[in-house]
Amino acid sequence: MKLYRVFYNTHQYRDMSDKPRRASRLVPALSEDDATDRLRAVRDVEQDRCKPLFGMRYIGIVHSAVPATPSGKASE
Amino acid sequence: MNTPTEYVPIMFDGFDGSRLNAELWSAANNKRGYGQEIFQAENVSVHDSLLDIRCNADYSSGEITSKGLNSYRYGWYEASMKVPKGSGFWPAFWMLDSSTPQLTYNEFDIAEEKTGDAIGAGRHYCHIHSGPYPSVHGPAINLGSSVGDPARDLSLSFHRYAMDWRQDGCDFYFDGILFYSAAVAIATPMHTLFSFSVCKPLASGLPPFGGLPDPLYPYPAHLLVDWVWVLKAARHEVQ
Repeated sequence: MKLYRVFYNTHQYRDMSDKPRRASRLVPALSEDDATDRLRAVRDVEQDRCKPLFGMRYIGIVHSAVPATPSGKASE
Repeated sequence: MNTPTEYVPIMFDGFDGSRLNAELWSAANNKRGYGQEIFQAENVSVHDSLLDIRCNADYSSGEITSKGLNSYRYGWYEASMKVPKGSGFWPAFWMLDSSTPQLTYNEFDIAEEKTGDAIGAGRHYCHIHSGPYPSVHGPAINLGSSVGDPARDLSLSFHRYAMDWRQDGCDFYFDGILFYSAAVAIATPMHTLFSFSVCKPLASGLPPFGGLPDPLYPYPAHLLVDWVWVLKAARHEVQ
């Protein structure tokens, strides 16, 4: 697995009638395409959870994935 | 997966390649474990983009730790794991106090699965232990909880085990769902571990919670880790 940041649109309303906002998430995946597919795969599951969880927004269009690099600032 | 935008990755290991990332982990070797097992480095392998910790019929098993390499304070800790089902198995994803000199004992058990029956019934456990160190009476604070779904056998697929550690406490998540919160302020740096232990009889002679290992189990058993990460967000900053 590698680490990717996947960019997508979020919406306040389930029917996505509002103006989308750009968002991104970190996704462990095998490739860029796999990363976007993984986010699409959980979209329907998450939609069901959105309402009870404050602050969550619906996932709209999933755009692209780029490799993400950990900062490495781990040691305390 | 499913992390909101504001998270910054601090550490990620997807276990690509054919060996442990030596900058992140070391494997215990000839180390007496926490139950009946002896940790041997030969039982830890990386293959097929997985960390594989094997437990054999002689209870030789494995553990990896970030001790001496990386320690962490606050953040989101999560691993995708497939745990083995078998009586007496005790696989864990956890964190231990790294403070020097060590005046406290702090332990986060993000996933501590102790019984084949419970794993088969989808039950997952988390714990927090905290107190002064050394202590003849053990940790002063011992908290924890579990979450379960009888229709879900944890050993059949990968699941995500996570903890959100902040200044004001910890939240524990299973597959992205919050199931336990503890308002315990722990501030010492901690290192991370994956271990595969085997329960031993209690001092009373009674079997432990989780039972004793079944000699008829078709060894070896495997604890598989797909990926692990440490993420930070604004709420993890020291106030």
